[in-house]
Amino acid sequence: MRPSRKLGSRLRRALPRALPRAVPLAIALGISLAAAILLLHGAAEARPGSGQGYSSPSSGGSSSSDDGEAAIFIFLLQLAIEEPQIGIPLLLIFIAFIVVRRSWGRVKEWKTSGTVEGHVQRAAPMDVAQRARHTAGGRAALARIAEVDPGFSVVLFEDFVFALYARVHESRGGGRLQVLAPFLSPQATQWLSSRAPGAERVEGIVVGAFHVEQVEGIEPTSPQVRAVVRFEANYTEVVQGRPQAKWVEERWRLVRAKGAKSRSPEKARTVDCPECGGSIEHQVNFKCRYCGTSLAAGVFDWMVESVELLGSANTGPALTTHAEERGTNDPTRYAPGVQQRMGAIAARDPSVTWDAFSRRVGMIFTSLQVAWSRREEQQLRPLVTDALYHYLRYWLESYRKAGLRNVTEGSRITRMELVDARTDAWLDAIVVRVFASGMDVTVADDGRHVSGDRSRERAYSEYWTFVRSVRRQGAPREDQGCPSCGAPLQVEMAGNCRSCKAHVTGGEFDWVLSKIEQDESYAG
Amino acid sequence: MSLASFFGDGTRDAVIRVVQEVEAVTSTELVVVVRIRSGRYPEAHARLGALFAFSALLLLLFLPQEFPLLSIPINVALAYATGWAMARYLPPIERLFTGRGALAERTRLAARAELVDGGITATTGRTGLLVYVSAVEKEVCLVGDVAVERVRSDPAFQAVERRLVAAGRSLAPAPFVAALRDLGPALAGPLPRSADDVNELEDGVRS
Repeated sequence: MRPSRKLGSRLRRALPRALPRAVPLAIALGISLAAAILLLHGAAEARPGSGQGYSSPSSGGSSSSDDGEAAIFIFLLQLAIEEPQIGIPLLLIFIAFIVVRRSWGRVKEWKTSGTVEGHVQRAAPMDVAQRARHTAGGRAALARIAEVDPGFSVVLFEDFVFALYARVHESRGGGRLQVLAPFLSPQATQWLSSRAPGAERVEGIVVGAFHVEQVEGIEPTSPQVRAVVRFEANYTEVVQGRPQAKWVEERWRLVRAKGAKSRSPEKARTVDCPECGGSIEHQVNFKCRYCGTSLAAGVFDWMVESVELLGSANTGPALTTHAEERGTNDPTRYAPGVQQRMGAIAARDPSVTWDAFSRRVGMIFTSLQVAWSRREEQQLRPLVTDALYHYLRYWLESYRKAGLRNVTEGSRITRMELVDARTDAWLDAIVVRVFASGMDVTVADDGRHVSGDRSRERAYSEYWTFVRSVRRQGAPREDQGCPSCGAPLQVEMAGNCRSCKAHVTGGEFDWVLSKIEQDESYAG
Repeated sequence: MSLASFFGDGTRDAVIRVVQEVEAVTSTELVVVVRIRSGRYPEAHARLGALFAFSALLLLLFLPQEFPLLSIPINVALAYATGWAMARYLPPIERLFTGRGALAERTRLAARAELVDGGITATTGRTGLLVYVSAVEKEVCLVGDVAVERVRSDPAFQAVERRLVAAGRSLAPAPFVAALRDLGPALAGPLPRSADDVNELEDGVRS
């Protein structure tokens, strides 16, 4: 007789006797197993690829786990003596379970470092809520500068600071910072000169994020206004012919005399003489060579008082993380009196109706998704302000350098709400909350899927701010023709139409997208 | 036991030495990552749970004994929980009840994410190469940056890759280290080390 048949016949004989008792035993076993799972759970919980997959046996909680295992073992041992047909197999299963668990729990993940040499850890980033408070509070304080300078515009200030940031870093290449003396304090010049002193060129400067942290000196007694701003940017330093991409986080302290006047929109995006537009490189003894205007540092315009490097890395930001949407279902933060202020804009220009404006928003939304997915930032150029273009380019550059694309296929607006409308000396601004849905996956250049869920659309909402010159009249365009000359719109890097050379990205002719804010960071 | 020795200090130190040897003859920046798992497989837990539950149901229905009515759902639920827990907490069983394709795909995704998020794509010459081993899946994935991907079709490289994959799948330290060493000669031809080559990625260990 073969052993298997013998075992089978013994089981057939044993089971009818044992099974009536098996039910309460099974319940006991299930409870024991559940207890074992709970005891083991602390050691077993793992985050994939995190390097913390399994705790070592010496980690906290192991003694209670051991006690629990011992209790279950004794219970099963008793069961094996009393009911060997059921108890012995269960005991063997339990022993196998513990052995396998322990052997897997003992191992620890590792990797050869892979850190780029010279890598400096980035400063701990502010959490989203803290950043939102900083940005919102800072922007509100910044807007108060209009109390002492009626020509001040937050949007134009941001454009100017972006231009200044790019010009300053460009001038670090080849040691040409001295030409920017009217915009840099000696302390800032010295600090900037000490960064990569042998750099032949600094190029591809793109500002990814900009936060106003603090504004001081609005009170009447203060002779100066100070703004503390924080940049996240990337650029390429070329040292001894070798390019090295850098991702940096910097804090700049800007200062300006209380009596200084803001630049007009057409001069806000250049770092030149604010009076005549003459090149700053030709200034003589802090006076414009062309019109004689005083260019004394910190008197005629914003000056960089100090620069602080908060973090730097040779690798770009993480691009394969798909964080869960937050705040999509939160109530909309309507500004008080929004309908009246929107009514005031419509009264000045009756062609600005909600329907016409919505259609332009829809066109910009669709164009943005297509250009983003294809990494074609040139397509975005006519539709967004200089500052936002910088931001979007920063991310598209990061994706390009990593050989990745973030594809937002099938994105569409599902709903749109008017949130705010405001007017400053130069610009009308309309804020809408855009509810949308679409795919959000990251793919490599060769089409391989890297992250994100292809099978499920993500619903999200964002606050979008659109601006247009207060002097402009006319219905918002729904096509991408030049709002100045009507030609198919192709825009140069400086934001000018290739056909008529008019600057079109500052809202001079039509509504352009100025800001995209997430639900959790928008604070009105 | 091969699992413990593969994750042990001995293998780790040997790999570091080999990485330095490889980088001495090629401009490739080699990074080796050894992970316990690349993902969770709830479908496997559910499959084994369902199998246990169905088996328990068949026994309860067709055995000649009578069971109290209330015990049937309780036992079926307990059988499901037992199967679920076994697949959840015992990696070999979890692997057994997951499709080979799903294991390979999850490992590939994790390797690509590691390549990007780990900064391996940040080298000047785009010569980063990641050898990613995932123990639960028993999968090995070689993912290269742009310059390395160009030499993927090279027969010598493919032969080394096959050996690395075989050694990594069986979690055999010695064959794995030997195959890793052979990456040097395989890459030295298409991606030779230049005189001014800078070791951009550290070769030490991080857990």
